[in-house]
Amino acid sequence: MTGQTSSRAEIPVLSVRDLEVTFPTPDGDVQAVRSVGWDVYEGEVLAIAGESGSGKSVSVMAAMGLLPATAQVSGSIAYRGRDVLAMSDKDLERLRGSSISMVFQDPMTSLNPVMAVGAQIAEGVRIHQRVNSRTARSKAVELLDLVGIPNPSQRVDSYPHELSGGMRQRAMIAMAIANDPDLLIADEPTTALDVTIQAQVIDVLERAREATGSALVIITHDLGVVARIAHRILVMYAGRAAETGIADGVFERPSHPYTAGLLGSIPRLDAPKGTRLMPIEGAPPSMLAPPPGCAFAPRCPRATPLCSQEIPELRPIGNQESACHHGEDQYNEAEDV
Amino acid sequence: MLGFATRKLLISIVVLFFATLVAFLLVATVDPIAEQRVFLLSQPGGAEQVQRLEASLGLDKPLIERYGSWLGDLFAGNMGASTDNGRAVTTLLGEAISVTMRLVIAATVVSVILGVAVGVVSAVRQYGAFDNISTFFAFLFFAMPVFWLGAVLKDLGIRFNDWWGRRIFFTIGEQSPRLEADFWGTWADRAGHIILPALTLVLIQLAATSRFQRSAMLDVLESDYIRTARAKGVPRRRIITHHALRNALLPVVSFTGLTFGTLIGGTVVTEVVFNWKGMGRLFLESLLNGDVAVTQGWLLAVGISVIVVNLLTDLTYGFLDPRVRDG
Repeated sequence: MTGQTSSRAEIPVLSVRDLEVTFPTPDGDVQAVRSVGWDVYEGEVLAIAGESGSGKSVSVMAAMGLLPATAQVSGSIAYRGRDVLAMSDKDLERLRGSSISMVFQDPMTSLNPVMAVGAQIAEGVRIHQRVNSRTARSKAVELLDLVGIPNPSQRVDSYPHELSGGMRQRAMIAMAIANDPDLLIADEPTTALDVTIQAQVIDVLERAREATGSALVIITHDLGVVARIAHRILVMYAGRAAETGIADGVFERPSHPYTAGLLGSIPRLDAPKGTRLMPIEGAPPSMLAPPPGCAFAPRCPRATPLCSQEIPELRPIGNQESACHHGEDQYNEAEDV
Repeated sequence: MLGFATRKLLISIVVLFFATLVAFLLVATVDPIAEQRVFLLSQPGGAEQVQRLEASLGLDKPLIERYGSWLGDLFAGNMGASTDNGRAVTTLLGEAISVTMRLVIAATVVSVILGVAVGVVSAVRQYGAFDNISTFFAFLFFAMPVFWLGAVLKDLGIRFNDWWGRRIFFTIGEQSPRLEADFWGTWADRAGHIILPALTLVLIQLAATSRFQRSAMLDVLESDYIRTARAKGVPRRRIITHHALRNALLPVVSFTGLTFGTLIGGTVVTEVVFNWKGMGRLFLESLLNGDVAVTQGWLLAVGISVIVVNLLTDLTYGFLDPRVRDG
């Protein structure tokens, strides 16, 4: 019995392989995602981190089948072994909101302004479960209570404009977990919120994940969020994976100069007095014509001529995987400090 | 919702008061006896005659007093009598409105329903064949003057009747004169008369409404909450009917309310083209005859109808959008 459960746990809930997403524009093709792969296992929290435009959101939108029709997608995305990219619209509709669900970035615009929040939650329940409207409504009240909205039996009839940003994001989370999904995807869930409520919303997300036992993929550029809840991390840069591994390990000994740069640019309470923040100089490359070789090379303190010629493949370094020609040097330097 | 409705109603009453002032002043500041005055003053003893004429029409009193007595009569349900034929203005307006409303209501209902349907389909299948064809016709009819489109339809209607060998479309009047028919016969006759003038108004109104609905729908379909609905697994058809349409109706509701005045103007022209004895003809005749009481009454009646329509627009908007209700 135990053997079965453990082997089942080895099958990823979602497996992304060699994913490439290109958007044709009048100025040329924007290569938003250039060959990325990741897995997320049952009950696990995976953080995808990176700057704006690094392809974090696009790769999960592809997994939900939510990209615009103009997007050209190749590679494979498998939900429990079933190819999501090959699914019919009907199968996708069945998958979305029941097996995989999503919390979006901006709760101000992501809720329908003319529908009561309870009705929006109940709608998701009724689409995927055969229940009557009374049951769906009481389920909505339960969910609102679970995500910590006070007076849920009254709030169920509130319209989005009557709720604060934090409350709306809680309602979004309630909507996302309404059908006990296997996988919850949160796309920058705290970016649009006040700093003071960001931590609360992360707690609610964590609680919601525990209540449903789902896996969680959280997309963020806030490494504080990653440190707080993620088991594993995938750092993306210019549409590719830069580094991936156990979150704590990557934080302790980054094996990619970009990860090290990200960590060096966050203020830390435990840093010695007088330590300066180290911003990463320059800007991410244009995805219309990314540089040959390593996309980070133009900004990288370790760059050598090799870097601008040959694209570094993701390879194991220590317990992590890094896509850097000088990954070992970075990894070992971190140990010395 | 009740508080919202009450607030809107009170505002409407204030606007209504100003409408009476404007309707009165627009007419009262024009000298109704300008021609006689010139003629009489050139005659010996004409000055006294002018004075007598002014006194009989009440023109010797100050403007504010004249407004006061006009308003007082108005509240008593008396809008004066036509100087042309002596009939009460309320009777004349009542007859004309019942004819015109038939046309306006038919044109509004048909153009809004068709406009919303065409706009939604165009937006959902953007740049498809239907969208391109409807775009072409929308611009074609939008650019046409009402009187010309009316005349063209009239001509086509007559040609069709000749070809068919029976009279399907009537091109003159709102119903056949001296018609003796039962209830259904009367309505069939009226329907034959209303098709072409209503079509004139519908085609022009439909052009604008469908374009408006299309762009509103396209905006809404791009919005984040539609993406949320898709992420929930809501089927496409339900997204369009339950999530997108209700939001996309809001601008069209405002638009329909705002263009109601334009529609009345278009109706006046259409009535003249098709010889209807409605508000259009009443207005033109009152102007040509210098029939002060009728012109004032007419302006007020149209003003009231615009106010009522805008009140209905606001209430519909409040019904559709909870944010407006609380605002």
